[in-house]
Amino acid sequence: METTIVDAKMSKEKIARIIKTFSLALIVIAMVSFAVSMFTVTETLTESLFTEETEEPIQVSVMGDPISGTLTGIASLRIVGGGVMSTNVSATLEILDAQGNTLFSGSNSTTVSPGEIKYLTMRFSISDIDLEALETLNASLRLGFRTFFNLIGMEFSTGLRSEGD
Amino acid sequence: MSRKNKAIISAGIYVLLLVVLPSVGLAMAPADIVQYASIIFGKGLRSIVITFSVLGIILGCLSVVRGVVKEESYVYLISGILMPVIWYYLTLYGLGFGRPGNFGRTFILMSRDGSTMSVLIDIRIILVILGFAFALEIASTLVEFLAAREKVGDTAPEN
Repeated sequence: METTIVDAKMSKEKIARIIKTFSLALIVIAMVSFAVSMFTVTETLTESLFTEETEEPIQVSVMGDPISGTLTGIASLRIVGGGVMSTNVSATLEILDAQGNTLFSGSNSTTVSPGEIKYLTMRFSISDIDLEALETLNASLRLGFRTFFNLIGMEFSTGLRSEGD
Repeated sequence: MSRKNKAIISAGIYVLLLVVLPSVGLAMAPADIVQYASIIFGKGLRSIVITFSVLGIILGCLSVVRGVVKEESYVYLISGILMPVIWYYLTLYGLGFGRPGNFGRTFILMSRDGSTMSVLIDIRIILVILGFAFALEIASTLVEFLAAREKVGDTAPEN
């Protein structure tokens, strides 16, 4: 009878130790995942956007046809995978007129592995606009970098403004 | 090493990591960087360091209390529950750049040369994993406390 009580106590202490070990393991997993994910995201981000190579990371070419009132273009983003995990990169482009009305909205995404180079392209076409009267064109670009099963990431939003000639 | 010595060493580490190092770091950092960081995070770095220091002192005190009191006492249990709770709040506060309510979705607004860029950092999954870890830590303290109570009950003289 005495042995059973001692065994029960031992098992409780053992349970507490096992739970504590699990807890510590989870803390280590969280810290390692955080460090590795942040490293991957920042490496992909810096290698893609702040590269010292001659090629510009974001290239936009726009063509306008004043007769048909159509504005077509292509935006291309060069993505270089960095870090130790694959990264999902998404881009959303919104083109607005001077009054803030959305003329075009489109997005695209791709997944890059470390060391891999990919191009994220978005084609846009805006029709029935008065190109002569269009003095300013506002755009907003949102770039998302996600890793660790798309659960950890950073998203950047910035406004772009092109002045007419 | 005795429980008391371990607790005192832990308290020293808490004070060093959460009180001394952040305060020294803030004092040594250039004023313009501190000001810029405060603008970016939308919260004064000084107030973040003060929060860290206060919580560090509380953690140090709880660590000493845990080392002094008996394992079967309720003070041991309460301090054992409070410590992971404070740690979790500290994690939420630190990773949220002073905004624990955002729960891992931190929004930073940066302005330079008339252009504005916003950055959203999403690390909710890390906080969920840490939440489970700290919940397990509390469960382990409870089981430990129950085992200690049973031990005392068994060794107590019968009338």
